[in-house]
Amino acid sequence: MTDQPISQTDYMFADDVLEYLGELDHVLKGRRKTVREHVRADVEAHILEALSAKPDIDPCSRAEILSGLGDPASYALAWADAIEVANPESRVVRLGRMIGEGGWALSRRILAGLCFALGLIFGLAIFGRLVSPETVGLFVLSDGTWLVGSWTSGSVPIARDVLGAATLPLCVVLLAVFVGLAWRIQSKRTHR
Amino acid sequence: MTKVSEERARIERQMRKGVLGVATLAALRQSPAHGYALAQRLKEVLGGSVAEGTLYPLLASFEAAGWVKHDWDTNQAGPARKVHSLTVEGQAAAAELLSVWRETSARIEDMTR
Repeated sequence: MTDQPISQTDYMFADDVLEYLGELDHVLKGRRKTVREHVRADVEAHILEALSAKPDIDPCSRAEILSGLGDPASYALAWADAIEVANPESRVVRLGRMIGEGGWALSRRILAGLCFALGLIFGLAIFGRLVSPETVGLFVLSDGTWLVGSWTSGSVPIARDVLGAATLPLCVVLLAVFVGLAWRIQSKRTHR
Repeated sequence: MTKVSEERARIERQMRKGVLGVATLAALRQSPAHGYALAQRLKEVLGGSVAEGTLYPLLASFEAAGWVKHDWDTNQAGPARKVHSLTVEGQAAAAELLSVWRETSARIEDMTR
């Protein structure tokens, strides 16, 4: 522990302040970066000013300052609108930004879909392995070629099951990883 | 809270919100100020019913209209502060709106006599 006094700037990193600023960022999501930075800088300056005016800074006074500002949803969009009117964006820049944002959103969607599809494949592999362990896995066939996936009777016979008993746990882990990744990408896209 | 006092509180809230623009221009006419100090001045005049957050969109729209400009105060310790002040157009708009305010207020006062 240190006896050094804590500066107002340190209080900007208090959980409630960070949560408030996070809420502000969420409300302003999709707005121009310069507009978001403008609003955030002014809100931070307001909080710092308010903190420096308080003789004692405790969670109560922080809560008072934040409630005094109001819910970000109630003012931030009107603020961003006014800043955008004051600093209009050229059509070319606006078009470029929209294409960039659209492309980014689309690539995230594709990536989430891809991860989900891979998860689904490993889910099916688990099912196949449980139903018929000798036909699903990573195999070396008797002619020396490798086979990943499902082996059907009538094709070249299997010489060796490479992963053996590790196949099922590995598929479970990969299923969890890909479904988890898909969920994470999807939820980031929805909530941020 | 009874329905009557609820209605009274609603009208009072609307009234205070409605005069926020004129009050902001009047406060900036007195002297330039940074956001927080301006919010405190307005709080003293209008009470706590107006959230400080609503002041900033108003200042930004005044800037968009060319009534308010800001300069950066770097003299104080800590991060630079934005100091808002009225432009010439803002001074004229403030004078006009304050005159409308006085007239309206006088007329309402007349009705109560």
